[in-house]
Amino acid sequence: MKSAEKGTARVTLAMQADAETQAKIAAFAEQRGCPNVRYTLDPSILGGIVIQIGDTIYDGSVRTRLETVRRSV
Amino acid sequence: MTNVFMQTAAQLLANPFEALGLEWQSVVLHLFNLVVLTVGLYFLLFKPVKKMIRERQEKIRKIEKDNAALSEEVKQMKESTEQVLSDAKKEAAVIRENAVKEANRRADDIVGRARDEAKNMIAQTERSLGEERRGLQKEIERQIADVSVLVAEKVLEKNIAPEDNKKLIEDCLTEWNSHEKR
Repeated sequence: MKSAEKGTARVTLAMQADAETQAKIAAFAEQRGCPNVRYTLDPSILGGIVIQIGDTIYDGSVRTRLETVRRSV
Repeated sequence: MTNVFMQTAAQLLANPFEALGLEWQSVVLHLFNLVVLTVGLYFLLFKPVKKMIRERQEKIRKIEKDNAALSEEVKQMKESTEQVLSDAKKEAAVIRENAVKEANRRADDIVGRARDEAKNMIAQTERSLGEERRGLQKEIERQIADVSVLVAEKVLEKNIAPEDNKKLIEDCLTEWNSHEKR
């Protein structure tokens, strides 16, 4: 990861989150050593959230869940 | 006439040579000739003929003996031939019986093998069909899943509510937090 992005959590959402949700996201990132959060809107994830902190990816997107369901079938 | 006859008989008895008009020297000579002829014939004709007849008889006996021996030999050969023929017939019957048994055994083997092969082929075909059926079933299930997911994607793409999305995000954050605390 580049040094400028170090300490930054990259958050991908399908639609804009309200302030309360953004605060919870920021708190989640801060607990993991990332005081900064950079948001990206990507409707293709359909819903939910994807957070990348360093090499760790937290994937709670609807698309991934559907994919998991499809694979399990 | 009786007297003539009696007279002649008396003369014949008294002097037979004279009565018959013969001289005794001539009679003796004839007798001598007869003896000489008889002896000559005996040695020159009777003996060789007798010898020849004996030899012929001997030859005939020998031929008969040979013939009998030959007949006996022929009889033995005939018996032997009949025995050989009988043995050959028995042997042929045994060979034929064995051949029939062997043929039946081989036929049974062939039928058995064919039956086993048929069973194996049926089992193999059933297995293949089962595998194919399971494969098709999986493929159908996969396609159904794909279509279902696609439909769900299309539905969610348009219909997901901001409140639902918010709840989803919060649930995710809560779940990740709780996982890491463990």
